[in-house]
Amino acid sequence: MPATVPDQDHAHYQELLGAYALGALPDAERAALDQHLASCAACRQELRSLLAAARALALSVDERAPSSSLRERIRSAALEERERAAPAAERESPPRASRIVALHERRQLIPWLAAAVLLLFSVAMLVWNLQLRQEIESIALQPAAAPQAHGQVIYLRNWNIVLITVEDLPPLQPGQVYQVWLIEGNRPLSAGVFDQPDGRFAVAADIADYSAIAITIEQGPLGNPAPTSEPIVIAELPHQPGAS
Amino acid sequence: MEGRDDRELLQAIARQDADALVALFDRYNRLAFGLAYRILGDAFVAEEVVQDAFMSIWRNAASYDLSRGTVRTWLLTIVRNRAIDQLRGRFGRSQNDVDLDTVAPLLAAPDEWDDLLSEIQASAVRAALRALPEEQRIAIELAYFEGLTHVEIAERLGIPLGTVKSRLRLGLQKLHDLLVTSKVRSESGASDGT
Repeated sequence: MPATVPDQDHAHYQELLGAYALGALPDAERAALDQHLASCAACRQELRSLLAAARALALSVDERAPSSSLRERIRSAALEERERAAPAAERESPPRASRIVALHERRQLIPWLAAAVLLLFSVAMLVWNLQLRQEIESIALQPAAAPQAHGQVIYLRNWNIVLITVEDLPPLQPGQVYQVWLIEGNRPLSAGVFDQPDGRFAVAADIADYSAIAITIEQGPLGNPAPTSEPIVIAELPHQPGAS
Repeated sequence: MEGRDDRELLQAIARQDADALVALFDRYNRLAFGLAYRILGDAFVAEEVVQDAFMSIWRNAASYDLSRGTVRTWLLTIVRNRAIDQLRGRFGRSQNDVDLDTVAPLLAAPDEWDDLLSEIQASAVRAALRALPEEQRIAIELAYFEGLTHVEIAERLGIPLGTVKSRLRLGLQKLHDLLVTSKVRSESGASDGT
């Protein structure tokens, strides 16, 4: 085959413009078309109207009211971020850093701790109705990014131990891990990593310090200092000021 | 009635005025949630996506270039991309919320797009979609609302890839022309009773 004829190239790329405008091109093809667009005024011209049409598709959906709490959730999230940004310098040394640092040092969740807490858990469940009603909190882990994933967070208040049970997490790619985050306001602190899509494990923490527990998929083996993906499951933790 | 237009709201949001963010929410939450819900079919995840999108605007308002598109277009683009990422398990893909499209800087006079989109009614977009040949509409909807690539659409429909490419392109061209026509018609006065 002779050297590439520019017109053939152009026809090839032009054919891709619809898929491009809809975000339906695989990355490699998209990058190649980006290059072509840089030098082809005709394709840019056509793309402009195709993109306008693609953007209009958003307007074709039926409007729908979200739950009434979303408005205030967004307001408080915005205010919290603003607060955090303002006096950032003063807040650099969180009072409970020691516990979190300890957790950072043993990022792989330790089996013996899990085993010990499981034992504790069984005992605790036995006597729950008798004595420990006030000392155990059980909160469902809600599926977020992964619709089939679910689980349970059980908090043993007197021991400051959080038991997390998960099931049906989405499979990991090679080299990835699940990472647990304790979220203080909007700031996630890593509580450790694990690699089984089903399992039980324990984290030492006082949940009164945190607003949520979430699990994301991150790069292994140690996870990331901050989450780089959306949570696959999340549990909002109820706040009980004054609970001793 | 909130007196400020979108551009003024965005400027206030850039100054971290939370009331302005809530005013923007009041204006577009039903549309944003409707879009996320249409894509995801799950109210819980859809609300997360909507909250995420508004928070992205909260963080990036100061650096957003309005010549790339209106605030509404920006918001809906973030919602759509995040919802598709959720749907397809592509976590953290849509990190770049400031640029609507990688190519936007290359396109002269991008405000033409929003000129078309501004004031266009949902009913006009629905009517235009209905007027498309069905096979073009289906291909476009699989790409936009399900986030399928052209190869995946070809597999799903059992048709050649070349056919998918041309259905997407011709369908969008036709959709654009129909929208321009309906806009011209609506601007030419209410006397046209058809």
